[in-house]
Amino acid sequence: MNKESNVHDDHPGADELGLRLEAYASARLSPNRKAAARIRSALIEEARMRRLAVAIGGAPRSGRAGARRIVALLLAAGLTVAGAAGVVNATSPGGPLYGARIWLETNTLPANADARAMERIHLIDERVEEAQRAAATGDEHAVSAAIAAYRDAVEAALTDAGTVDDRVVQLKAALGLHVVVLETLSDRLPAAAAKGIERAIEASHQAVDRLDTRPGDQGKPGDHPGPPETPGGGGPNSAP
Amino acid sequence: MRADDDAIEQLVLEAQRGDPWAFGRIFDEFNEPIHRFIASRVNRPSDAEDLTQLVFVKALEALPRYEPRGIPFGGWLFRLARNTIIDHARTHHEHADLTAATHQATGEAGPAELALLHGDLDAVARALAGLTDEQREAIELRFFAGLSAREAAEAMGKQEGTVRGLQFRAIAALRRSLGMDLDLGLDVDVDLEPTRGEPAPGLGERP
Repeated sequence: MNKESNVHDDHPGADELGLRLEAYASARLSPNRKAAARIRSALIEEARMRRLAVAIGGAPRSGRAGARRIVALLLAAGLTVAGAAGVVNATSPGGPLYGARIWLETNTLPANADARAMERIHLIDERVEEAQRAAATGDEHAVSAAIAAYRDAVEAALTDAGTVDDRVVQLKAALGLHVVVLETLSDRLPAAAAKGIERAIEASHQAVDRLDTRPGDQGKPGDHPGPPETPGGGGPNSAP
Repeated sequence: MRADDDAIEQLVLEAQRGDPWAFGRIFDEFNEPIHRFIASRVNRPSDAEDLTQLVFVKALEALPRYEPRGIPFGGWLFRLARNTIIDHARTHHEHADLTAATHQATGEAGPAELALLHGDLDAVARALAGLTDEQREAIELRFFAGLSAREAAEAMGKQEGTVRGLQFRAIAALRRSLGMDLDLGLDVDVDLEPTRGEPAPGLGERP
């Protein structure tokens, strides 16, 4: 689709009219940015759920993929049980299937290095949000679980960011925001839980320091800075 | 600047393999044109937002079955959008009315500038309303959504030449309605009159 060239060649004098039509479309037909962001988030979530459904329904039964199928089925079962009983979701922080969920998420990351690095940032965002939600309900155990997962996720994000400038900048920006959020959380929690938060803050600071001391951009788009794909080819683009 | 066709096809391929990030990028590429197309066909901004989301959810569902085979992805996606609008219009007994198109914020212009701007935008809206459904759809797809003639043809279920013809007549009619210079130096016989008397199957036909 090439907006610049596809209309003006077809009719003499279309340029001026094109400008008026563009002004009209821009003023009256363009999407609201907030709404677009909301829709985008919902679609990404929908896409994630579909990927999970595929992992549950169509995975081969051998090797790592087979193990993933089992975990996915366990997840599904956990979700069903939790839903039926009306109790806390088993895959929530501190729940019996939380670790399995984290494992599945990290083993279905995109193969593309840039996409993978962005997804890592998304995952650490999620861990912070989980900690926030857990703190809001006063569930210290869940806060601790989310924070522990956060620290692991930060380590993995550091690895996948490598030394590629764009990834490093985005990760640093995310970590900076997390520090602010975590400090706010720390002030609101009892001393015992706050200690865990403080360790997470420290981990964030250390991660930023490590990013700062890395050499400049030595990667190129598509390079994978981290370890090779998981044994058994369990990347997201392989059949689950 | 929109990604080129090869980049789009690559994203589609990755999204088909289950990569949510790739689908997010597809959304980034097509959200605005799809929203513009829909907003020009429905009365309420909230409907435009809901339908835009619905189109992308449908795309997510149908993506595993999408095969390029010479069909541009943009055309395929806009055909989904077109069908979604048709279903919406049928369900809500709504006839898309451009003159009631959404009135969004127009930046930081002062009252006098705003009045002029609104006046001009209203004139454009009236001119668009004077087109046949097919002419208007050609304009919406080509100008508002930025589709190529080939993509627009795929979306409308017509030949590319037919879409170019519709666009040509639509532009002439719009220029006339808007009081723009009609001396185009044309050496071809083109009907510059808005063809309002013609049957206008337009969106009433499902591709």
